[in-house]
Amino acid sequence: MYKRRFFLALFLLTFPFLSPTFLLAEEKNWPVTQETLPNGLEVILLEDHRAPVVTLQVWYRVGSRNEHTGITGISHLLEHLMFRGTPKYGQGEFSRLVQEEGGSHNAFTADDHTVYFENIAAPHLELLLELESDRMANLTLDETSFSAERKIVMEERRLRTADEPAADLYEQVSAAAYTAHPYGWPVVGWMSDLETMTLPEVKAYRQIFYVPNNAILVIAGDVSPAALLPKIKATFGAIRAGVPTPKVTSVEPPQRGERRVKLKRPASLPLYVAAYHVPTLKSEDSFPLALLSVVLAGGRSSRLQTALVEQKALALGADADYDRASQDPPLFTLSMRLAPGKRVQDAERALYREVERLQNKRVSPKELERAKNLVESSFVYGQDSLFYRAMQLGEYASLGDWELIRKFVPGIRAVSAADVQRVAKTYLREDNRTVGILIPEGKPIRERPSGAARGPLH
Amino acid sequence: MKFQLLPLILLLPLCTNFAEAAPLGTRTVLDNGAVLLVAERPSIPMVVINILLKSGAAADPAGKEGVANLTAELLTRGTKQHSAQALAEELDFLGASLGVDADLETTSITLTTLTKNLPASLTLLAEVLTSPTFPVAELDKKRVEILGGLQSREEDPGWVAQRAFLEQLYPQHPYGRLVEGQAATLAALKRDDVVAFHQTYFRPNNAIIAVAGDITQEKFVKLLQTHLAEWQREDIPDISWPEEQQPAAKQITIDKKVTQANVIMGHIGIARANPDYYAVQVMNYILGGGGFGSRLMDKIREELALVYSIGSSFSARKHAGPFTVVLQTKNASASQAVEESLKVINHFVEEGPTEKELTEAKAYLVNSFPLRLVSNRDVAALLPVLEFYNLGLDYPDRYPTLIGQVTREQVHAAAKTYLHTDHLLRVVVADLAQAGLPKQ
Repeated sequence: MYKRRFFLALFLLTFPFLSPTFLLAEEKNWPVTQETLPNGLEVILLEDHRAPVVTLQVWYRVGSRNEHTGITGISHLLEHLMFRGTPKYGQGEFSRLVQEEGGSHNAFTADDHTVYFENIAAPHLELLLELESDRMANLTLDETSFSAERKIVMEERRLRTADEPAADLYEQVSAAAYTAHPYGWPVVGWMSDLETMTLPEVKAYRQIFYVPNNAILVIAGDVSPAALLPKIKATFGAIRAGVPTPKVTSVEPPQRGERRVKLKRPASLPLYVAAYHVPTLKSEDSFPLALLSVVLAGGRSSRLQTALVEQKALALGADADYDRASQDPPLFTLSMRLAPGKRVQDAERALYREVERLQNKRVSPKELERAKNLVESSFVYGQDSLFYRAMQLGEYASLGDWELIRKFVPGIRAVSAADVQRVAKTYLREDNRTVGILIPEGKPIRERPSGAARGPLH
Repeated sequence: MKFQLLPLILLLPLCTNFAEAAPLGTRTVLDNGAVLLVAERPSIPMVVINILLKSGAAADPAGKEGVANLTAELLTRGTKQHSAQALAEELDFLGASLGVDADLETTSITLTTLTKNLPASLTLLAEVLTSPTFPVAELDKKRVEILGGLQSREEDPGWVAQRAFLEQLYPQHPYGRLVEGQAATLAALKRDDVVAFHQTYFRPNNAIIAVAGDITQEKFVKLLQTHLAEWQREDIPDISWPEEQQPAAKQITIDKKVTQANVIMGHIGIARANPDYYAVQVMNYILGGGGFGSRLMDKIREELALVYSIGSSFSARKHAGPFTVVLQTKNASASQAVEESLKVINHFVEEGPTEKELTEAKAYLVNSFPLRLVSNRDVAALLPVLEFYNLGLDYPDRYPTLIGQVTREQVHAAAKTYLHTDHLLRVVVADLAQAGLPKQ
């Protein structure tokens, strides 16, 4: 599995805006035990005794951001290879052992990190410690697994990007928006790199990044930290530290003028994306920007929904997305799927009119309050999922400090209407944006199946 | 997604609420006929309400296909007390989310709210349920939106394959229907049709009200008495169902400019009430329902590296739902992937499961249960399903036994009885030239 940062909103539909950042303000709701082992592994344990289950996640601070041209997609390919077995637990054993206990497991790669996770009944947690620490240290990497997973990843790329017009467009927009920074290439990698990558390259890459000092272990659920820590030390603690990982030094220079990309391909309806360079949570502006995305596209009564979908019926749907939990400056995106028969120029004009309204006039106190209420309630609903709580901890810890999540709701509550207006003016500028337009070409509408009876294939 | 292949999660429902055999919730039949199921879970200050109406697109009158969905879509687009926009703003201000979703056999209305806003949110839910106005202007807009949505999905080859498959598998049967209806029937729908559908089916004696979260049964009943006192019962008309028929073996090909062939193959499966349901669950898990470790995944992905994913499922509903195998592979290997999958299925039918496979499948099905009931959303989603299929709130306690007693012979018999590679309907959406398949 791989995901691009600004697809998060599409994946986590239950948290329709700004998913990864809704946090608990109250101290008591984050009973966290934190310890860094001598080998550098960060351990974060969250007690949540509502159900006798646990979530375990291993966050490696490595993603497409750490790659370079020629080996784009190597982080994600390595994620696949992590399921190919170790000398102790051969091919398929990992899945078998976890599933036999009723557990589920998977992994995903993003631009900033690679995450492995399992959900299982609490008594089986030790099995996970054993399996995850074993593959951190002892992965078997051979030509057979490598060439098979390379093919599987190519199929994944075909499935999720090549035959998926929206993903195809986002790939083009990222590539145009970033000229110097690695966020410009896709997490899954370019096809030519997937074709030419070698096993020694994967081995070397793994050696640099799959070390305990580059990882965070998050465990949330029905656990007792006092009993659990010794077990973690006996498994993960025994792995030798690696050398410090290399820093990513590329910095995206300021954009000076709008960039436009068009993508012509078979598709049903035009898609329009405007992507603006914005800061991460290291900037105070990230709070009003988060709120701005909610005013634009959060809930049912948002500005874009009302103007573009309800009133003018120019779009079938419209969205705004901003994920402040990012290592390096991300993109704030506005996107819409055009309604049948509508012109891109008209939809575009209406979209930017909404942006200008926010720049020219402050939101009313009531609208601001509504947006804040949406953020806060979403954050409470987010607690309902144990897995999601662990995700929040891992994401913020990988950015430096899990306790940053405590600052989110107070930070949102402190935003004024003037702040929202200011960030709209500062960042949602024409010169700071990359526009992507998907232009359907070829035959978008399926041909009727002829339905003629035919014999079997063979 | 409105097209009806139920996700696997619905096929493997209904497990136990952990070690202590505490029931999942309480069940009450209200005076107006509604069944109320409440799971008191006070740890987070939120409440999820899921109202399941036992009617959906299958109840669409002939020529008016799409009316159940249109009714659901319009329910929140204006009430006697609120315009669509005012309602949306109020809900957002409360931080509540309210969704209405029509399915083939059911329509669900889901409200998620903070406990402190429950009374206010429930007021809005009651309005939507009992006094929607269905403004004509909103109807016209929604119709365009639904048509646009249908058009936009044509670019998804997986969806195109699925739709062609179900149309062919269930001709003249509600399971072959699009919940959205078709362009022609949608165009003909009038406000009166929507009003009639609402009047007929949105009745308490047709409803299961499930609640999970920070509220007691007693308090919730009082709230219902305040907010939904006017909701009155009416007789619900029966609808007639044609028999499901196994298809003749055939292959349908659809030409599209895609890099991957999208393949769906299968036939008629089983109904939820089928006594072999549990043996079929175990059987399908081993064949292709179990993800990594299933026979299809092991062979087609892990060994041959032809696909990113492949899976099989039995969608068990009130009537016999489909059995399907779904895969995607680069155009050039379409035929190979299909042939290899058929070999896997045939081999499985012949030899049945190994003892090891049986043990592992049963262990997974039983032990994974607790993980499906962690959140309020999980519980609110499961409760009405238990009621809809007459499984009872003690079903969670019975589930480990129901699965536990399945034998190797039963699974083998289930494979022979419910897998028919000689009746396989296949749809391949691909770049046919690249796939080496003839155009039809």
